[in-house]
Amino acid sequence: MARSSTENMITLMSSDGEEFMVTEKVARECTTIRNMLEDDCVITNIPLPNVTSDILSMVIEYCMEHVAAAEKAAAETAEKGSSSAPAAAKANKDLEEWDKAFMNVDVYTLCDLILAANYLNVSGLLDLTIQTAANLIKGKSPEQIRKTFHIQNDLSLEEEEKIRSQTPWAFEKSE
Amino acid sequence: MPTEEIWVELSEFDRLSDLPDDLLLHIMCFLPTRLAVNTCILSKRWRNLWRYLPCLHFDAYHDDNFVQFITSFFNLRSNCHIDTFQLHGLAMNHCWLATRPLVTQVLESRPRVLSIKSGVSSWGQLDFDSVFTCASVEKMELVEVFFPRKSPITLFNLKRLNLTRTELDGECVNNLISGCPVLEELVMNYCSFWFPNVTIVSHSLKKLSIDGCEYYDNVQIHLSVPSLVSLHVTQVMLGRIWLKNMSSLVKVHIQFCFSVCIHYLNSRNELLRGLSNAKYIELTGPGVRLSTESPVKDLLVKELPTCRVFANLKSLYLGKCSMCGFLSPISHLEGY
Repeated sequence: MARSSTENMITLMSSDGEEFMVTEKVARECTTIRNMLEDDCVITNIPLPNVTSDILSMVIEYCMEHVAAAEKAAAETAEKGSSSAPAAAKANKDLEEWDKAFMNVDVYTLCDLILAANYLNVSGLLDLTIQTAANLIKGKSPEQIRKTFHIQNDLSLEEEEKIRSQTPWAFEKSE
Repeated sequence: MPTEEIWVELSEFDRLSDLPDDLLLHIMCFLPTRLAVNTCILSKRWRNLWRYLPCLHFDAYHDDNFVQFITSFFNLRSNCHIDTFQLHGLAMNHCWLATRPLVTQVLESRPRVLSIKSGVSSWGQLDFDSVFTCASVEKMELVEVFFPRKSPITLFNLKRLNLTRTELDGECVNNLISGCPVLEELVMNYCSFWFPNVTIVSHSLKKLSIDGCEYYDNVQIHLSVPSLVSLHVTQVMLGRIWLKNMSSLVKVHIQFCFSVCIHYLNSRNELLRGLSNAKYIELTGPGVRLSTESPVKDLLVKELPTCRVFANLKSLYLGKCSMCGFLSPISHLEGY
């Protein structure tokens, strides 16, 4: 795909001072940045004090992949008049596979990605990370959930008993 | 390797419980409500979160204590706004009777998304009309839910409606269309249309799908939907579907229920005229045949090259028929 040489580049700066040059199109995947660009179109350097460099690089990787997939689909439509249904379905499936592989991270990184996706307002990434976290909770006992996310049970035995006796209806089915 | 050690320590830190309430609730919204409530036992942080869940997904299937669960849940939850409400598998009447006041409570909270699946064939005896006057709803899915015959429909913000296994008469359809002024997507699966004329006249609809439905024997389907972009209809008989004012149509799939000889289109070119702006047309059936003297052929051959009718056509698929290469003069048709 030929990129027009006039395409604006934006520099995103992470909380730890690392700079990332991205195309405006990729940066616009983040609604928060898109709004900044729309308020002030000459802005080229955006500090992101809430996102560390390792998380920011992952967010950018996600945005680039999704922009590239959308561009590819648009190019195919323009070329052939229509992207054939099976080709579009395959492209979708490929992107889903990519997302799935992208979500192969530890729970700490996953939570940081949720925070970053929420702060930068990347709706696709927020849905993906939230769904991944929910999937890690599904089908697990409370003890297994605690283990997965390293949650310290700070309820005393008495408190736990109290919760169970106040809301016995909550536990009847799953345990 | 000090950095690695720090990483290991961090990765074993409970980052999840550090997330703000709205994000934890967002995660819990992706869980069945029973599971979401279960998190109250995890730690102090999680103890009361479930009371503020804005999206509720209840499923009564295989849940013997369902009534107790949902009743206690509503007694103990906070009075916060409900955005999404799903109630599935009300397989027994006592379930419905017990949950009915709760549904009323939910509707008063002005939900945006509603999904109700009954699984009760006798549902028709139960009054469920309040759902059809909930003006806040933007997206609604109803499975085996009785459709109101007499009472008004005032779904003024409804954009997407999915009806499955619902019995409809002519008045229902009229009420539905007039009661949903901004409806953009209407999907009807396995519904019954027990009346001779199905007429859908709408200025807001963009997507219409009527799939696997049962019709009155000599049903006539009249569609006049100028904003419609995508049309999907199955199990109709040729000559029984009439399209008017379909100038926005891009994608069409019509599946006929019997062997169809498009020859019959002779006096019924309205169907084709209705499709004349579409880009992608798919006409299928058990055996769609296109005879050489067919008026469709004449129409296609005559109109396509001159780009008057079918000027936008990019793809045409006609069941298992043989096209005999007569479409060759149509240079802009790319796949058929």
